[in-house]
Amino acid sequence: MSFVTNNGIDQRDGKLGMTFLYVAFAALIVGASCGVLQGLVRGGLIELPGFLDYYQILTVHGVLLALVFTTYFIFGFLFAGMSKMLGKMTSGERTSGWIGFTILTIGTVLTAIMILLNDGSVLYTFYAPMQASPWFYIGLALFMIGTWICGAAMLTHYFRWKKTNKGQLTPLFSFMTVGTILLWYVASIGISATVILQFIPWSFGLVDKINVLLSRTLFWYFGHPLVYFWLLPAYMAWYVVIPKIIGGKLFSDSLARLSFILFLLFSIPVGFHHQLMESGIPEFWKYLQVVLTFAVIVPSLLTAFSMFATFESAGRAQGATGLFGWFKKLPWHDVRFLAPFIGMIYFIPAGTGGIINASHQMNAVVHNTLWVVGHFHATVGATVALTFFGITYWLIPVLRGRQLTPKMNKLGVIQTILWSVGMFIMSGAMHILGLFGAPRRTAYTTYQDHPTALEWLEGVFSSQVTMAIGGTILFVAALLMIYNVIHLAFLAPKAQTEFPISEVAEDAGQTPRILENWKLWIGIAFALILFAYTIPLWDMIQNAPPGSPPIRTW
Amino acid sequence: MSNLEYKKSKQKNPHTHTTKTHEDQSLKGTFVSVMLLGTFIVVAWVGIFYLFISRL
Amino acid sequence: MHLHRYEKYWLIFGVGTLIIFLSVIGVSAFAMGNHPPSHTETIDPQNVDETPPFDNPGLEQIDEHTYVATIKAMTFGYQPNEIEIPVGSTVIFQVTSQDVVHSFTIPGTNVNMMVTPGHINKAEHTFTEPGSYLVLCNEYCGTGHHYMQMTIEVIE
Repeated sequence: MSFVTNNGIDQRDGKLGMTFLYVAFAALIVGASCGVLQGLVRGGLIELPGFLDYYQILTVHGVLLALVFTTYFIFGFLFAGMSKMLGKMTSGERTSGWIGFTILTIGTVLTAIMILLNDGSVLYTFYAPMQASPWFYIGLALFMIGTWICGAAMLTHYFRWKKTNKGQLTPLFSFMTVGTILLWYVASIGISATVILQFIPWSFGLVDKINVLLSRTLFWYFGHPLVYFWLLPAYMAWYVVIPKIIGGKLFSDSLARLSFILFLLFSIPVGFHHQLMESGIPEFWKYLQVVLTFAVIVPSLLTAFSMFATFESAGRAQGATGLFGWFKKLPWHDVRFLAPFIGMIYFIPAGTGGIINASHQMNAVVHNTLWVVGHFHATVGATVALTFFGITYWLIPVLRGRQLTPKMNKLGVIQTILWSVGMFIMSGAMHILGLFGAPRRTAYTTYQDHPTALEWLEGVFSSQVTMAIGGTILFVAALLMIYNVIHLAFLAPKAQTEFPISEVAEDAGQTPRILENWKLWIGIAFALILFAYTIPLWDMIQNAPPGSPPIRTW
Repeated sequence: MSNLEYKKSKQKNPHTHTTKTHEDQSLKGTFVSVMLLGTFIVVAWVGIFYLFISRL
Repeated sequence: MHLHRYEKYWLIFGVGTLIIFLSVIGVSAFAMGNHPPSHTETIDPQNVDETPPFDNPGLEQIDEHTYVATIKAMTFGYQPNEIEIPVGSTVIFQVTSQDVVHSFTIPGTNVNMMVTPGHINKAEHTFTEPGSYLVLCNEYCGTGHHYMQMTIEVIE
């Protein structure tokens, strides 16, 4: 039994990957349930029962969807892909994976308990000096430690392969996995520093005050690469999987690798663009990080070209003519393509919104308004989530030795369309409401019937009621997704299903070896981080105001 | 796809040199698509910049 | 590494556009003074009430058309919670928090700043239209966050 493989993946590795996916989808349904409640409350359509607080379920929604669903899905996907591409893990590597999973899960459960006890209604950004139970922060620390152990298992796997296959180019999937894990490691320095050095001693009462600005800065040092940690596995599917599904080839191996290196370099020294409206950070350093933020747009521009080129080449190879004839050749009825494709389309307004958010003083128009909520629902809620759903429709069958039946494919298409429409309505309304100044993270209120706030409930498209309608459609789509997941994992007919990995086009050219020189890239990444952060961080510590004592305001 | 099919696919756009590079492919649709994307970015950004200026 | 001709054009267009965006906001910020609120003055968050100018929050006229509004943010409101100014006035808002993180945000204007305890933040706006302007907190600050507001009455 232990040597059986499912579609080229050792069953024991597949089981590890699948376990991550079960937790991910459990988080999805609870998180989505909280989301629809919030939408209905905010639209003024329902009131929550007395035992539930709006900000408590908002915390659950953010933590479960932004942190738990994404992280578990990503590790499940990466473990499965690494086993497929590099061969089965050693028992040591696999054991590390399970230890990582266990610690990660203990952390998640601990944090969840604190939130359910209403001892952690601090939202997933947990800004000081609001203080949750110390166990909330301990849970977060365990969560981080769990991810490090899982990441270490994958890095070991990768470097072992490299050693036994000296001189060979590593498979693109494994290269991208390593890029993603390294990004996560460098990013997690920030959150670990603030949680372990600031929040935990402070919440246990070992120190009585906290440096608020420093904690926010360390959080956002982590917070921006966090969004790239979600996005990069979606990009992996776009580069490595989608070309195969559409019957084409990867446009360029080296450009794919280059874009991942650029993400590693430029997605970290940019956290100030989340703090543009904040006192205590001089304008110069904000603008410097704005410039670095704009550099991280370039790999996405590269990716946009690569995707269209992959589609056009595949279409033309299948006989398409004319300027856009290739568009009709794409497999629109295949959910494994449709879901990620709509995700890509969502990334056009999502990425554009990101450029606007990061534009220094222009951030005043949108900062902490519903626009931002619309923005990250378009990025992580549509681009990333739809791509992850698209992956799910073949990955679960692969890992469970089952089949995506035509009927299930059709349900998948319906689920994709529902999710896309719901997100369009909700995210669109949020963007417009944000431009009118409607705040994010705020329960239903009319601000004592102030005309400005009443308008936010009265528009046709730009209304909080519209948001609620979109949210309801999304909830239905989430329910259908859960049904699909259960069907694919337990009910679908047994069959061999292929893990789609594309080949590189013959004319793509050689991949320069320097792209795999991780020491060089990590060195440059740290140099950029030191350049962007050293002086302002030093200033925050040296010229810090008296700290803040803990406060519980919920 | 085999090399043969590949050659066929570009018959509409013949090139003289024999070594295959990306230049052989017709990527006109790709170029038009990304330029449309670029136009969207510019229009949206300018719109919000205008909103910022108008609210000064 | 080989780049298709069209990809080169696309990258030149894309990077060029980004440089233009950066130049426009850079000139607007550094040459014309339209910076995001980034005041660096600090204050003891536990002694806001005793520290000038926050020991005496309110509106102060400094010349014919210019006012300074000194405002304390707290759970869940602002002090003062209403100010009145003639239309055409420029108001410099200086705000700090005596407890958790808040914001000071006037929808429909560019006044939208974070108010972190320990720091004083500043923003300026000229009110050219009469009316009642809503001020709200758009950073979650606790269970009554959605009740945190004040108004600015701009009169003829």
